[in-house]
Amino acid sequence: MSRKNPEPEDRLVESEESRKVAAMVKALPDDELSLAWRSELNAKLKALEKRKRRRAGPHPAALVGGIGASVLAAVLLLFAMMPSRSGPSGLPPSQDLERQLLTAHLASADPSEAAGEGVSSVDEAQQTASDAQDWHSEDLEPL
Amino acid sequence: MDVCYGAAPLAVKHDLKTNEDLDIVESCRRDGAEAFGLLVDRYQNRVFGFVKRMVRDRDDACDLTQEVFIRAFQSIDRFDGRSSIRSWLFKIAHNLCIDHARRSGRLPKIDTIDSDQGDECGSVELADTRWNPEAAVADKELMEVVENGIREMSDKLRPVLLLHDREDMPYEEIASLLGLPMGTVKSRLFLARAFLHRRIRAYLNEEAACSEP
Repeated sequence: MSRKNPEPEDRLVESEESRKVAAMVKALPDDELSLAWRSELNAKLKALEKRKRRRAGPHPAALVGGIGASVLAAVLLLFAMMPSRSGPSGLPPSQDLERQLLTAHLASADPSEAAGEGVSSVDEAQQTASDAQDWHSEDLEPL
Repeated sequence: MDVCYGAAPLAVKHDLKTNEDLDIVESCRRDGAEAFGLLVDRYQNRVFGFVKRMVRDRDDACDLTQEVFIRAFQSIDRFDGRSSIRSWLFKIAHNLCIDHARRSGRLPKIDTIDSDQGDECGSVELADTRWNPEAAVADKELMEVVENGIREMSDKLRPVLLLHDREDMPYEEIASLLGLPMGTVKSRLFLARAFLHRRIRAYLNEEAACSEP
């Protein structure tokens, strides 16, 4: 660019010679980076990402999920601790009462009372002891 | 050839690429390092080529190129889409190269082209087939002359030449990236090419002299 004859910058840049030089610069071969370089960069980016996440704290969705799970667990625990409306055996209250009465009666009743007259407790005991083994031939005779 | 000078077709292509780049940025914000890898795939060799020609030492260029992408990853949340991803990455690269030059104590070279020397560009022998860029690619020595010329030119001229002639960046984008008026970008581009032209011509003349019986 001469000071005496100033030319517009565009004409200079667009001259044949200038464009040929531009084309040569464009034609220069690219230099490719190695896989080792790329692996190293990937490792650094991953480390940066971890640091970013640690600094950011837990994800909001994770927080909401945690709170929800806690509330649900508390509700379930509450239901589990509430006293049951049914009896200890799990039966409806009226049936449970009958069962208790029956159990008490059986515990208190004398076996002779259940068996009826003619069988004393001694007889019963003796009979029990000689159960199926003692029988007499006359037992086999037709009646 | 007009494509090199920011004509409409290049501008349209640039817009399409900007939209794709914005999609990648959104993915990076959502998915992190894995999505960022797509950006690295697209630009790593181009950024490396630029950085390597700016700092000259290959190992330094490898480290600086990594640093470009690390800085980009760290600040991707702040990318607002006002410039293209390409501009953004090359701006980071350019700034890192300047910092590197300062740290290594390398003072920026002053312009070595006198304004009068631009007139000498008119004396090129166009008949020399090695001026044909396609043929020149096969001439490794000539390519080496061009690379050396880029390495030795002024630090002020080099980024403009690389961004325009290697990256096909329009003048407006270069002006914005480097913080220069557009007129300055064009004049620096001309001076950079004139510098290379002198080097190439000197080499070709020497070759011709050697081959004469």
